[in-house]
Amino acid sequence: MNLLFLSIGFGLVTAAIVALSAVAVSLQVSVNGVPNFAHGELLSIAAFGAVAIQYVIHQFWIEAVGGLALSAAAAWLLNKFVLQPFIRRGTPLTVLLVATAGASLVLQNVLVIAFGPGNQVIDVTAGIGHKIGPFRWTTIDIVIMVIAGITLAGLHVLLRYTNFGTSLRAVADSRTLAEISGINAERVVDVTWLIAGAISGVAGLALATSGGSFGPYLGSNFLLVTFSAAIIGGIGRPYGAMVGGLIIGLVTEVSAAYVDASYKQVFALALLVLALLFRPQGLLRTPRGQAAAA
Amino acid sequence: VINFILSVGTTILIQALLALGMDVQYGLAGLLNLSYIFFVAIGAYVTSVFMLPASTSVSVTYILGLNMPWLVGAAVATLASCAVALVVGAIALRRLRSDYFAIFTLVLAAIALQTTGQYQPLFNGAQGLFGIPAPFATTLGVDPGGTSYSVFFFLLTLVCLIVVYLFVRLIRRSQFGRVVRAARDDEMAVMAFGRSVVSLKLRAFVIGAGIAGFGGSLVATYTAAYNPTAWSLGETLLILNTILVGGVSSSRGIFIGNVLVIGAVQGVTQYLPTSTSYPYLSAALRFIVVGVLIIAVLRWRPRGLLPERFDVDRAVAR
Repeated sequence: MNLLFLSIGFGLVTAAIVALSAVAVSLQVSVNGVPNFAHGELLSIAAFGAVAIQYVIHQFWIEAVGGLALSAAAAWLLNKFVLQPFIRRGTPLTVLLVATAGASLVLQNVLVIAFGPGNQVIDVTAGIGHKIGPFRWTTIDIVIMVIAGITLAGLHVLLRYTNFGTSLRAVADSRTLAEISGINAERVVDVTWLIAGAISGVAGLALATSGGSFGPYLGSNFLLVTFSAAIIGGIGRPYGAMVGGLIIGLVTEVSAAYVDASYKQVFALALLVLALLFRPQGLLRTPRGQAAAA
Repeated sequence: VINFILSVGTTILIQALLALGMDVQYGLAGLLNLSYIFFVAIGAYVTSVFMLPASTSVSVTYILGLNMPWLVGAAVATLASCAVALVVGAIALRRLRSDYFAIFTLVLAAIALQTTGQYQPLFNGAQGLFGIPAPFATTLGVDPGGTSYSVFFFLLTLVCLIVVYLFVRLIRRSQFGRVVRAARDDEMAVMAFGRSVVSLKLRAFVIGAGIAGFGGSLVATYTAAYNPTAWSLGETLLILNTILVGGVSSSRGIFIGNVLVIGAVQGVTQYLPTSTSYPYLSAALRFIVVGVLIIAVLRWRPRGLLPERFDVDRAVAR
């Protein structure tokens, strides 16, 4: 029983990170309709940005903010100069996917050349272990969960209660209709990518600090669980992605406690297979049906 | 020099063969299969364990070890890839959404790669298999390391490439090929004629995977060693890159694409100054070139050097 609660505790931390990452993917998909295979690199860029700043100023919060700014900027550039030129031409979805995969390959190997294939560390003290109820977390774990909670709650407020949120949902439903009613769709898409990039950055920093050390494949290795969570939640739906993240996080960590931990990603694949077979529309079905995802 | 030309030539031929298989999926059926190299790997591993003798060392473990000739291995490899593709395709194609299909294959490839690297008993984990016998070397009685054998292997891959080329041409010109292409361009129209798009695309997927498996049997025996570093996602994108450069759905274009891209990649890495303190540099540079090339070609020459020909007029005239 102890082991179960312990692994659920780890699972909640992983779930927080997966949820952040999957929500960022879903935001991108909701406005562009394209799953971005270079998403993992946005996570890496935030982590490596922080490492680079660490060489100059050894102050975690400055490093973190710098990393976030970098990943937000990278997301914006990616959309502006890689994706948009294709979308404007009406390029088929398959070709767009290839383009993002190409971008991923480039960014990943630029990181390899810049920082080497070895491991990096962001200096933070993991803090002492806390016993809360049946769970056991380090200070970093708790900070990660709190920040994830705040970020996701903030996103919820942004999507539901602001003008920008209404515009974003309008563009996601139909870009043409949104433009007819006077929404500057291009600006909405740009801002969405900035936000998605920043959220990816939060996920990247959380992943980098919770794991201790990390290499240039930090983000691309995490892409699998991210996409699994996004699909389980119904891709392009930020709220579904949160649920998907929770499920993936819990299942991979709890399974790792009972089966060899190196196979935990296989469970993510199994969940993805189940989701595709039995619930391809995602767990949360919105009354508006397929419009948001199409 | 002759050895260098032979090695680059053989690599080009093998890569062209692999590209033809991927093009049946990507070009003909419009399926972006990011796990294509996984099916090559299945072929490579299956061929290897059929040809290698049973392991005598404790630290090297793999299944089977049947000491069979290459032809048997290659045949089983092809079938094994097809069988796996049938299962994978049946799941991934269920929702006929190209983005779900691509994501599913991406996740599959990455997890298969990790698991194979970690699970030692199957194919010796991250160390992989080595000492894979050279096809027909004992029958011919030549030294597998010599130039004469290199010439023989070059000719063998050439024959294989021609066979696959003719096979793909047959498929393209068949009724099946035309319907699949129609399904790629307009799913609704094909459904309206009462054809199952899922079944059509699944068949194209399995055929492409079969070619991948067959190609894998050449890859493994050519390099004589095979491990997880040989089938990362970047390799799938390299094959895709040669298709995009040459021309999607155009066999001749794909051959030219392979001569250009593989020739350039191999030639450049050969003459690049190698630094012992940065051993990863050339691999990383190679993938950056591939990625930039993919985006550039899609952006400025989306149909490739030799675009697909549409023989509509001739078909109507007949």
